[in-house]
Amino acid sequence: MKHSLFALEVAARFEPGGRLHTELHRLITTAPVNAALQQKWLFYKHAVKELLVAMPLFTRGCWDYFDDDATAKASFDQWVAGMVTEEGARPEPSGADPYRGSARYLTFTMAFLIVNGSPTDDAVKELTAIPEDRLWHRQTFEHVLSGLGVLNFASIKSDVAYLIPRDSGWGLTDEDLAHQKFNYLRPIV
Amino acid sequence: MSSSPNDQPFERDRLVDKPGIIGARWWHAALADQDAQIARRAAIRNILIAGGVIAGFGAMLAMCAKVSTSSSSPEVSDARKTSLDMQKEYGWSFGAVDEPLVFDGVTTKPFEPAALHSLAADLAPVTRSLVPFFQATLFQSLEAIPPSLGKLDPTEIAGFKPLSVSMQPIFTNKMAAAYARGKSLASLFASVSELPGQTPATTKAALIVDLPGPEAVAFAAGASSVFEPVFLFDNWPHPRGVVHAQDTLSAAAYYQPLFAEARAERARTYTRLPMFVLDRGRIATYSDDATEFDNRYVAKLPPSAAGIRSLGGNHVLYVVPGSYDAGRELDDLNDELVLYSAGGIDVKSVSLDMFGPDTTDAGISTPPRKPNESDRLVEESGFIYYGGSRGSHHAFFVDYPWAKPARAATTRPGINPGKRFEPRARTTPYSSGNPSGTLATKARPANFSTVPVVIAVGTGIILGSRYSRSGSWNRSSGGFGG
Repeated sequence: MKHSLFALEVAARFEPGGRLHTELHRLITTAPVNAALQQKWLFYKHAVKELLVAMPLFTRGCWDYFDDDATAKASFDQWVAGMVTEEGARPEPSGADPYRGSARYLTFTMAFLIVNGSPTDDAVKELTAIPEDRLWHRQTFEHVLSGLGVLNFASIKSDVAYLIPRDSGWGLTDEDLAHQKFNYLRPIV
Repeated sequence: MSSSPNDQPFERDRLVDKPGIIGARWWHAALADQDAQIARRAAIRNILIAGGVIAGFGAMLAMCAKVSTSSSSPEVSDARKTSLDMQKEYGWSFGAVDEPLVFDGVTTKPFEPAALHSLAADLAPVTRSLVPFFQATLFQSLEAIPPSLGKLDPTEIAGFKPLSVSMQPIFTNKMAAAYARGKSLASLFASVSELPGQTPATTKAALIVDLPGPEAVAFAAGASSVFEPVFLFDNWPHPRGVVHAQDTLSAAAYYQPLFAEARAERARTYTRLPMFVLDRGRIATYSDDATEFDNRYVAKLPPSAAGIRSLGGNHVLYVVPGSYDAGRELDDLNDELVLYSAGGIDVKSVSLDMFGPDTTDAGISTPPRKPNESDRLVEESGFIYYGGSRGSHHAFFVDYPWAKPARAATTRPGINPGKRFEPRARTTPYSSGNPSGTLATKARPANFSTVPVVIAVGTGIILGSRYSRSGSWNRSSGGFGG
């Protein structure tokens, strides 16, 4: 079996108590340990719905699609490692009152290890056939997110989803996002 | 309402729930299993080991190059280290700390984990000259404390448990059959004592038992009243181990009380014939760093004919599973057996399928008037005979003329290629094809019994296995993307 990878991560202004963080947090905390194909699809449908509503809050983002097996698996491992090692998360709180200080940000990440050559893979490949000069446009993110209904989880071998931060006092700061480790997040234009 | 796994194929296997981050990973179990069978990850191994830059083929449409320039991750490099050294240093499950051991033939027999700490001692030889050949490696794995576990990346450590916690007892029909055949062969050597002034030692025979691990252990248990086992299991189990050493270890634990009893008996009475016990899976085919762990090893037999003679052996009997195995030894034994033969040692083989029950034997239920040890062993074997009949049992020493048959054989076994076996020098990845004198080194394939690891360039510290599912270096070492 060969694999393809699709991944997407966005950084958005974090408003503690706001709808985007609240809903993404709820989705992850209520996601079942063992899930049916339909449950997986609904999970991401709801996540995408919230992301689309919050599109104006996006500041940075990136997305990947690889249909080379080795690259896909290595890349998926990287996205998973981003959660497991908590590399993007703050090691300590950034403060609970973003309204009186600098801005706070959240990131939401999702990645899928797809069966290469499956109808889902073909659909994602078509969905992500974006001209290079438009890769990081807000409309492109909207286009890609809107098209994720094509995901059929019968053809998805593994998926990962994570939200930074979990707690309101741990939002990322401008300084955090300026760190080299976040260079992969491109400014959304 | 409950659901079957087929209804809920996705299983969450990772969960992070901390103030700074919350998330999870799920696996589609059926697809993952299917993929494991196909084992296509050799491609990754080849590409990554070659140096890592992956580009130029397939569609790479966006390429975030996630954190490939991270300054918080150390720069890393690849290297290969001896698998056993890494397990001893960093834990038996090195690189797969959260993966389960799979056992073949789990039994419900009561199991005494507390007794496992004496396993190596209970299975060690008593005879001083045999002690140097004994490999306690496998038995020592159970309670080993890895001294450098704490030096690994934190994701490599979470969930580590001593091997003894993961052990389960096993017992299989094949083990039962091998045990019975060990008893039956022992009965033949015990029968030599029926001749005036003779003992089993008169045969000057040494056994090399080369069976699948659990069956090798079972055979040794069955034969241990006449032969002194010298176990040569020189590896540790691993969740992805290409050699299923956990089954061998579990079989050893199953027969531990019997071995302990036989050992105590040996210490009180006469010297037994040497019996070197090998796991036939030790040089199994290995192909994929990404899905397998190379815990293979080569046999460490006495390196010369003189070495065998010093242990009292003029004859070597190579015990194999089937008659199709009886014509050729495994590659890593070739040099030794050729040396033995060239040095005047008579080397023959015998297969377990040369032993069987006599379904026509009307006398089974009629014990001899004065049963001796040989009769007792035959009875304990379930009346398993050489050649598959009571009448052919004592033809063994006709086919292997190392002693006078104690009793007459009324029939002869069918075709037995083992009695005509002669080792012939072969050049293989494990044999030189031209051994002479005393074997000083053993041939091995390149990278044999090694594991790819990731090393922090700045410090030289081993971060973990290259193919651990959890290693953070996977984020920074690829170098692919835009």
